[in-house]
Amino acid sequence: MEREEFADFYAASFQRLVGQLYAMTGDHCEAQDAVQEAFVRAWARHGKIDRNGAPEAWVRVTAWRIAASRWRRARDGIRLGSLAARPESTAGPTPDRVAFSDALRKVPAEQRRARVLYHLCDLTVDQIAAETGVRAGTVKARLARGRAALAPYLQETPAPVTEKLPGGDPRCLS
Amino acid sequence: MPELTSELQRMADDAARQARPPAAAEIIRLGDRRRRRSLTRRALGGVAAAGIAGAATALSLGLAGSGPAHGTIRTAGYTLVSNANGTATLTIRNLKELIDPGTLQSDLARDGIRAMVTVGSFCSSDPPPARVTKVMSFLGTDAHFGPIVINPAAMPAGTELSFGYFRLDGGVQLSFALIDMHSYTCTTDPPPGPPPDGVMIGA
Repeated sequence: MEREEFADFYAASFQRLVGQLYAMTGDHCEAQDAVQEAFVRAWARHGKIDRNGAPEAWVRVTAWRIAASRWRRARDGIRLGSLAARPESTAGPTPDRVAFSDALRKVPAEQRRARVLYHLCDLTVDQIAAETGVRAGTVKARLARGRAALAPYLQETPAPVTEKLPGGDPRCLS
Repeated sequence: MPELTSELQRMADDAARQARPPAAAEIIRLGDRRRRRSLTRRALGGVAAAGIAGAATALSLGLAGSGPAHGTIRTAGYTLVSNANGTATLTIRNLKELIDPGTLQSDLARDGIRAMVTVGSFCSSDPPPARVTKVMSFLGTDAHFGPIVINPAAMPAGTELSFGYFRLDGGVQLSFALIDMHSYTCTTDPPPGPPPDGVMIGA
């Protein structure tokens, strides 16, 4: 990936990745810092990323590891999901949304990560398993537990964890 | 009641809109620097592995050195000058510029300054091993942040400098303290004021 191509890739994906990391970690500053650092590493190793063929997924995985590592160093033994315990200041959220956001923060980090990859990135269970380094059965369990934890705050649509058609959101895989 | 996919999407979209990406050129510059350092480390490792003891000794003297190297490091956010008397002068030109904690930490290490640089968290010891001003002389004021002279020789054994950098809604905050390397805690909450025996600046 040449310099100009990397700059285009960075401009096109930075904000989307911050959004995804925020949904995973619950902390906007941490999400932005982790994504920035991941892009620095991406450019430092861009030959490796080219071979990987999925630069955005590489940056997302790296940013997640950075955020998780910082959190572990900072508060050993406490889950990442409670990172943003401080209330957010958003423009007029409805009570339902506030309750949902609070509930989401209480979901264990790996369950949140699986939920974000499944819902936001539209990845299949197998793709999530590959990205997170666990078995498909573990991914299904995390998805099911995450949904169960959030069910009281959600307008339920009967959506059991099913296999999606391979492919996923091209933005998340590119 | 919200629906999960749409609610997650809304949260992510809101966060994406608020994200402020640094210039691509800055990311590329930091990445280039990271790669150069990695290549240098690998080259040194290769020389040592090959058993070329004389060359390795010469390289280590030249690059790592038994004393601090002399020179100036300039980044978008700060300048670090090695002084002949063993101190180093750190000038943070723009607190709001991206600070790469690993880079600043390794730059300080070049001058023999043991530091823990963290972004979004701050580490401190209770009680602090000594006042941070024993090691760091702040030549500016809170309002007009100036150079900081750091004297690594004044750092008590077993201590490190802790730099905690926070991006807040209203700007940026940087806290400094001296910590006991064997006994400290870290928090992701920005200190509400200067830490005990420490210093806090903001912009």
